[in-house]
This record gives sequence, C-alpha cells and structure tokens, in this order.
Amino acid sequence: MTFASILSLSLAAILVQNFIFVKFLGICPFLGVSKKTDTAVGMGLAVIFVMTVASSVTYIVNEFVLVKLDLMYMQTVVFILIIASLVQFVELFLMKMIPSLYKALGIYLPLITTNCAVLGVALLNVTNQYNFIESVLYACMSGVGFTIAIILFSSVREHLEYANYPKAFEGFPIALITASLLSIAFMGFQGLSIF
Amino acid sequence: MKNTPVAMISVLAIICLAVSALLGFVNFLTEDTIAEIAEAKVQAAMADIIPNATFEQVDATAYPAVTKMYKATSTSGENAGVCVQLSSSGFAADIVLIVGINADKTIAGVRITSINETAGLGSKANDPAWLSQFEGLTGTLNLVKNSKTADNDVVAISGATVTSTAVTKGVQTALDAAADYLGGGK
Amino acid sequence: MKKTINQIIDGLFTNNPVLVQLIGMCPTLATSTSLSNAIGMGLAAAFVLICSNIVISLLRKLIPSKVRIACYIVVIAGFVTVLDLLMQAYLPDLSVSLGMYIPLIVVNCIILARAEAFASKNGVFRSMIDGLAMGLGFTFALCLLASMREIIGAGTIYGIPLFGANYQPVTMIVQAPGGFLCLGILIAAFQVVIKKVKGRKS
Repeated sequence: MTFASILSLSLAAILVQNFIFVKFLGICPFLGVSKKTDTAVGMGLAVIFVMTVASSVTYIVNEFVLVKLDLMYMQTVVFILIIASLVQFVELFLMKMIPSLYKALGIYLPLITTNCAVLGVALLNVTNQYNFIESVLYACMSGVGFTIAIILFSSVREHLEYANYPKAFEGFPIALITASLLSIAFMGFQGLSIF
Repeated sequence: MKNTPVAMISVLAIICLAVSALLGFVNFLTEDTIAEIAEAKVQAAMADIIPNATFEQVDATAYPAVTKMYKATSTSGENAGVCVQLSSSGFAADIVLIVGINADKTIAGVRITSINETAGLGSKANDPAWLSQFEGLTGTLNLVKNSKTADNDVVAISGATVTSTAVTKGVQTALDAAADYLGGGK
Repeated sequence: MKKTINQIIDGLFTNNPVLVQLIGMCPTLATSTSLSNAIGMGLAAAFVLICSNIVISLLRKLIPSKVRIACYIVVIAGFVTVLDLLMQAYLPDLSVSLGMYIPLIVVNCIILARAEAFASKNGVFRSMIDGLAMGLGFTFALCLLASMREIIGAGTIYGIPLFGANYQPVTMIVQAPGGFLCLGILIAAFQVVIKKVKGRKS
C-alpha cells in the first residue's frame, strides 16, 4: 500500500465520509455522551479501540470461516457476537485499570455494542472488499473521524449551556440543529480526493 | 435460571445453535431466488443494450476491475461485441454498471443495475438520457463540466461530480477491458 | 382491549421511541430521505421488533441474567438476517434502497431497549402488542420526518411530483444536514404538542 493510498483512505474515512456527519453511524452515543468534552474524548478513544479491534477480528473470522464455509448469511450474527464480547472485555479492562473513565462513561460503555458505527464499519469492510490492512486502517480512521466529530460537537454544546434559545428546543432538538450546522460544514469536504 | 457458568454457557450456546439452524433453513429457501434475481437483472440490461443476441459468460480474471464479462453473439452467429459488469465507487456506495461494447470497440450502451447516490443529484446518473451520451464513443473518454466540444466528451451532471466521475471511470475501464478482449488494442 | 389500545397510543404518541424516548436515531436519519424508504424501514424494524419481543418473552424465565444481553442480541440478529434474506429474495428493490441499514436494524437501540425494558418482564401477548406499538411509533416518526424531507428537499411525495417543473428543491434537506435539522425541529414540535395534550388532560 502506497503512502498516497493510505492518506487517501484516511481522508475519506475522517472527512469526506465522516461516520457521524455523512453516514449517520454512531448517532446515539454522539448525542448522548457529548455534554462534556472529557467524557466525549474518553468515549471517542474507546470507540476507536473497539472499532479497530472488532474490524480485525471480524475480518479474520469472515475470511477464514464464513467465506470458506459459504456461511455469508451468518455475518450479522457472528459479527455482533464478536463485538459484544469485545465490549464486555473493554468494560472489564476499564473497570480494573481506569476506574474514573469507567464511571464517567457509565451506561454508554455497554452501549458501544449497539453503536451502529462498530457493526457498520465491520459490514462496510466486507462490502468494500478491503483486505486486512485496509480494513483495519479504515476502521481506525473512521473511529478517528467519529472522535473528531464528537469532540467538536461537545465543545459547542458546552457553550450552548449559556445560550438563549426557545425553551421548546431544550435538550436534543438544539443539539440536533447544532449537528446539522456542523454537517453543513463537513459537506465542504465532498468530492475531496487527492489521489 | 441461575447464573451458574454451566447454565450461562449452555443457554447462550443453545440459542446460538437454534438461531443458526433457523438461518440455515431460511437461507436454503431463498438462496436460489436471490441468485436468479441478480442474474435476471444483468441479462435484462444486456438484452437492452445489444438486442437480438445471446450472451455467454467468459473468463474475466485477466481484468481484475471487471466483475463479469459476457461475449455477445448475434442471432446470425456473428460476434456482436462484449458486455462488461463492474462496480465503480460512487459518492455513497458502489454503482454497478453494465457496459455493452460493439465488435468495433464503440460503446453500445450503459445501464446501471445498482445505484444509491444522493436523491435528486447523483441519482440522475440513472437517467437514460444522460447515459445515452456514452453511446458510440470509443477510445479515451473525457469528462467535462459545461458542454460537449470534442467527440469523446462526456458532460457531467451539475452538482454530482463524484457520481459522474465514478460512472465515467467505470465505463472507461469496461471499454479498455473489452477492447483488449476483442483484440488489437484500442 | 383497553389496555391494548393504551399501549398502542403510548407507542405512537406519548412514548414514541424516536420523538419522545429519543432512541433509534441512526436509521431514522439515514432512511428518511424518501417516504417509500421510510415505510420500508419502519415496517422492517417493526417486524423484527415484534418477533424478537415474542421470542424473548417466551424465553424470559430461562435466560440467566448475566448473559441476557448477549442472548437478546443473538435472537435479534437472527430475525434481522431472516428479514434481510427474505427482502433480498422477494423485495429486491427495497432491499437495495435500504442497503446496509437492514443489517443495522440489529443495533437499533429501540429493539434492544424494548427487549430489556418490556419483553423480559412481561407475558407474550403484552410483549407482542408492545412490539407492534413501538414499531408503529417508529414507522410513524420515520414517515413524518421523511414526508417533511421529501416534500421540501425533492418536491415529491412517495415519488409523485408536487410542485411542477419550476420548483427548485432544497436538496440539502435530503442530504445529511437536512436530516439533523428536520429531526431537531420535529422533536421540538412534537414535544410541545405532547406537553399541551398532557396539560389539558390534568
């Protein structure tokens, strides 16, 4: 893989096809954990980790088990089981090693299992027919894109606490309007392709 | 049920097995229908591009970008060209193209069997009027923004540059592969 | 009978999964670009929700609590795959339109949330009605949002052009930003209405 294609794939994953602002994958934690920037950073890093490891494991299982045995229809079930176990493992790890982050993430940590982004990237790797290195790279970079999005969003939301807006929009609605403005900004990256 | 390791593992295992059995069964029921639908789409597109011909799949391993290649033989037994099925990376997802190339290496027609681009913009690529501009072209295609000045110009859809580029690139790949297959270079 | 009607009204309005409970947003934003997609996705999710609710309710006394989430997910994934295969065989155009969002029904928070909050604690009939109610609520929210987006963003409704050739649709609305914007406005409006209705009742 040339440096050019790595850069191109990364840019596509982070900006042009940003998981949150373009593909709508990973919205639940995006809206749920973005009230404070430090929790957002923690969540972002956890998601990058889970996405990268989940993609590598699902790729290997897919290539060497599902495809060989012609069991492609079992992809959804197998992939989600792998992701669920992985998240369980991450939870135990954080509980023992970084208890403060574990507490801060709270209920949203097991919810990484149902994070569309993790299953989404595993399925996209199959649809796009990436090889192992491309899959891992794509997963990692999409996670980075997710993290950038969630950090941007949470910094804006922290400021929103002091803003004056119609009461009807309190909570999610104003967050969604904010997200739409960020999404318009990201539209500027459409068609960006260097190589 | 109690939370003993034995109970936990066996219940999870039984559920997994039951689900796998159900899926195996449904897959068995639907496999053939799904394959037929996919093939029917391709056959219909090919018959639309090169009418009055029969199509026979040929080995396309020499052309890695091509998914499938079919040799077309007209009802009178002559070589009617080649049909190529390939995927091109669009804005949102892959666009699946069927490109028909005549025996004289000009494009007979382009059809799209799978497109999921932005409604109102990229989705316009599936408009027969836009696709018809590929017909009769040969050699190296040139995507332009405004209007056609040279023979090999293809006018992009305004506001859907990525989709237009994807389709044009796909057609070019098909054209090159077909020209190579039909022999004698471009 | 009254209980059933109450459950359905609950799912459609007062406890609508998307507009009130604020879960299940990913597929809502992604598939609400056209009314036909919205109906397809809504009914597909409702199908999985009803089936999984029934099965999980049947098995609720047999699943050890520590592995319950894993078990629920496997059951849900099973039904999603069944749906996916059936759609590919018998509704191929819809299957292509909805694309990867069909397997993503597995991680639709709504289904897991109802399994955990309701089906694991209630009988089969009630759980089935709950699945139906929440599924209808989801479909309803999707259709509202999709109609809004399709009318303004493409000038059509269910593919039927509304405004004639001179209408310049606001294409941004059917793209990503429009999803966020319209959903935000819709939730705000819906919650105001619900509050007023609740205020009038008490």
